[in-house]
Amino acid sequence: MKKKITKWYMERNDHDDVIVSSRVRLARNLTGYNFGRMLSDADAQKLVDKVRTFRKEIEGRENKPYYSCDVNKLTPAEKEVLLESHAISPDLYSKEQATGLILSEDESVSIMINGRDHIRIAAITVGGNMKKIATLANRVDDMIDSRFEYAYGEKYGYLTSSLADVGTGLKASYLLFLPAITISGKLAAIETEIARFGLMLKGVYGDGVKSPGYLHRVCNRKTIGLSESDIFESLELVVGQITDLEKKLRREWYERNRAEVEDKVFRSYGVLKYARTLELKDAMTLLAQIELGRFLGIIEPADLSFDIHRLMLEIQPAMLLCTNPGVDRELSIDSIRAAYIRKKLPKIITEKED
Amino acid sequence: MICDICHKNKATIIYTEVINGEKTQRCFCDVCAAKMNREGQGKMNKSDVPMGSILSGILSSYMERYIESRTPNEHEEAVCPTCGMTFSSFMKERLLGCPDCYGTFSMVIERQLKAVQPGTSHVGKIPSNAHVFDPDKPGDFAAKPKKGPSSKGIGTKGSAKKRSSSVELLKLQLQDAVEKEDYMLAAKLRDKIKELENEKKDNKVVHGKK
Ligand SMILES: [Zn+2]
Ligand SMILES: [Zn+2]
Repeated sequence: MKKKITKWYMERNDHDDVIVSSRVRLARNLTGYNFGRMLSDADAQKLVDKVRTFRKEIEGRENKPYYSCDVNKLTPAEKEVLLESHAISPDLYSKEQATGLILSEDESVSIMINGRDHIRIAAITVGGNMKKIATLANRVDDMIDSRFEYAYGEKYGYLTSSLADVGTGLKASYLLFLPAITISGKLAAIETEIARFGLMLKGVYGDGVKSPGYLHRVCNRKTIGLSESDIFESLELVVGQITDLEKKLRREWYERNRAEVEDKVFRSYGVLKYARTLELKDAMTLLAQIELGRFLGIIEPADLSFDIHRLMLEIQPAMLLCTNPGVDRELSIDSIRAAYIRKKLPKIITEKED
Repeated sequence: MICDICHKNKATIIYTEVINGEKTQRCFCDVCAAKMNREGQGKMNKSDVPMGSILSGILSSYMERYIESRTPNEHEEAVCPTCGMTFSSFMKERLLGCPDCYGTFSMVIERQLKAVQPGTSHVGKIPSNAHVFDPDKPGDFAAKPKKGPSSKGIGTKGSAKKRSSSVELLKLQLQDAVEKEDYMLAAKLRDKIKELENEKKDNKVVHGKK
């Protein structure tokens, strides 16, 4: 591939200090096929072949390139890259039956076939532009709807294989960068608080609430009994409040512990700049510290196009091997990571040179 | 509360006895209660309370049925006619097998949804070719006018006059009632099942005579 393709996570226009990305996912099933758990191998293949024909149509109607493939026929390494960049779900990754994927060139729209549900439409964007991707996902949904027949019941709405998705089949989520909230120990309280709105909090790049990059996903738990616009509305409301709190806490934290915070930020930069091996977990935390420093005006990257969250994505193991194909395979993944970060980390302009 | 007899299971039946003006409370799990009932008073050992007459009738019948339904038995278990998903595997994996499972297991789904996410009616987007799903006719999707929701559909009030599959559904409801320890409802359901099953038998006899 010679042509330079801008992936969704390389877009910097919509950059936000707290909201890293926004994602919408719709779970859909077709009539005439059993759900995943009871789907025969032959029907699975039929389903994948049938839905994959939709690639041409969406390409024509959206007027941009879409790719499609049989996911089960990819190599494990290829699948891992798709998983790390969120183009496929763990369900799809681990399934042995026929599975398929239709993916836009910039990877912002993905249509997963025969994962947990027959079809899962996902749209993702940088920053907090939920409206943009909700509209996009809805358009794709309408297109598929006009081609295939969805399983739907008036009482339960879109019928899904799990009761956790039934109704709208919608999971909308914001990926949030929450170092100050995490450090101040307010995460648990927020978790309880947002549960009242039918929302939940999930750690990313880590298990449970502990997340090394201070990245947390806020999404709706409820999928039935609320309309799509209700779900978006409560999510937006809650995320707005979390964002304000995070920014306030960052500034307060800095004001109270000026020397300590500055030391932490510069040390993190130093380690990232000169370390020879970096574990993923450590690298994520260090990157988070310098992003915090950038927000607080302690350091400023000389290259303004530098995006920390993109780098966080690129240093995930499979992604790292994929973007560095010529790398010496004798090296450990941690030293490949350190080298990659050294190369990518921009020079910094410090506020006060003393 | 732990069962007074096996000292292992959770007690589901609390029985208050008044002897000479003194109240004693005894607790039993459903397994022991049904066992006692079957064995009758005479076979009870040692200090166990006289149970036979108290837990007769209602209890024995549905308890036995309930216990039977918990032991794997292909013929007793509700199975989705479209995809073959069994009730027990649905309960175990919490995954449905096909759209028709929503009808087959509707009683349990209703309750599970309430636990997972309250508010169990869809109020959002409707697909263009929305098809109304009828729990009475598994596998049969009746086409609906393009314009929007019609009043007909799964679970709408008063519309459910269930027929052949209703025995299965009632059995699920019965299981549900026992789990919820609603024994009044369980007794009613048991009677209803008996009634329907007898009806079936009667019909067969009539047809046979013709
Ligand atoms: Zn017992
Ligand atoms: Zn089924």
